[in-house]
Amino acid sequence: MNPKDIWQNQKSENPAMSVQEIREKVGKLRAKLRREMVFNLVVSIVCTAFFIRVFVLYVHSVYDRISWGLVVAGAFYMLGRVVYESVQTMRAERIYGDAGISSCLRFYRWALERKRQHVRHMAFAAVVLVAGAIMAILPAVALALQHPEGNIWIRLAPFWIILGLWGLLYFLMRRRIRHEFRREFAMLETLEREYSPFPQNDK
Amino acid sequence: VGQTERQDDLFREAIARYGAALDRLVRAYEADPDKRRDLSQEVQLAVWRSLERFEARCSLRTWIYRVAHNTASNYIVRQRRDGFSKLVTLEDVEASPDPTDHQGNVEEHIAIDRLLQLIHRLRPMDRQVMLLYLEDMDAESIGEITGISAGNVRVLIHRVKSILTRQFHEGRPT
Repeated sequence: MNPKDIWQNQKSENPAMSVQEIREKVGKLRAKLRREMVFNLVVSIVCTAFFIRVFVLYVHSVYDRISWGLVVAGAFYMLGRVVYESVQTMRAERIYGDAGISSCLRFYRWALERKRQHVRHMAFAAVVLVAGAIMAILPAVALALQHPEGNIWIRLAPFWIILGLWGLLYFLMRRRIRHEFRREFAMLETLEREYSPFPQNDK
Repeated sequence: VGQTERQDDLFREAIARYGAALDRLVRAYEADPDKRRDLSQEVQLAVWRSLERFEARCSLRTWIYRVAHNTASNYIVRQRRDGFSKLVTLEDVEASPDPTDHQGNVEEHIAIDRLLQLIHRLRPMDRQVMLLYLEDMDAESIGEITGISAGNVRVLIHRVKSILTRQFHEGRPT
């Protein structure tokens, strides 16, 4: 029995797709990708435009300009990252072409590094934005403290709740994402070892 | 339009010439028939998309195999990332084809199963080399596809050959 003959004489089981079917599938995939990108872009643009409008129309004092300036800067930073990511995602589609040239693990590492960078940038933008928002709210908090009618803690409860929830969410997300990245990089390293022709533990 | 027609023509040519080999490759990467159908479509999709950038700097065969192997490897990465482990239900077992249906080819089926069991157990790189060797490719072409030197490929092929000889000529169970 020649293994090559055994292997090559297997019966085919999955029919080849027609060019038309392929085109339909690719069209659907591209449409999905485009929808996600458009959604992210629209949300970012609407938020940035809202913050700019507030900054231009309602903010006059230096302190408010600094705080809302931070909010606008954070929103702009996020918008820039979303645009950059969209372009990169479109380019990443080229893996199908690059697959003919490069190794998939190289692409996988590149994609992971890119994702990690993106998360770092977005986290930085979120910190700037929230710092600005806290600064913008602080005068109202100070005002409430100067006029302590009723229970000050109850009146300020929404502020503390939102701040606390944001902090908790930020901490939990950060921990989860870090854990996820550690797991993915560890797995990638294992695969890279497995893909080397002669791994060290191979006797 | 010309570029798209060229892409379509190349795809038709690739499937006509290497479709069966792609099918075998998919079988070597996925044991579950349903998932195999999905992977097969994924490979064909990747081949079609990649052909947009095919500039004939290497042979169509090498290009197709490289795309197919990378897509299949990517599939393995995803499976691992998702922590996928293959468990089948009793219904799946009942629905799987009855081996007695192939009485005429029992020996051949046993041999293919043994070969597939062996391939599924291999590390990805060894699996790629063995599959390409079984597809009758020489060390240079295998090196071009996998990205390892022809010298290293020869060493791996030597190992593959001795394993296959042990398994199929001396009749040892896998």
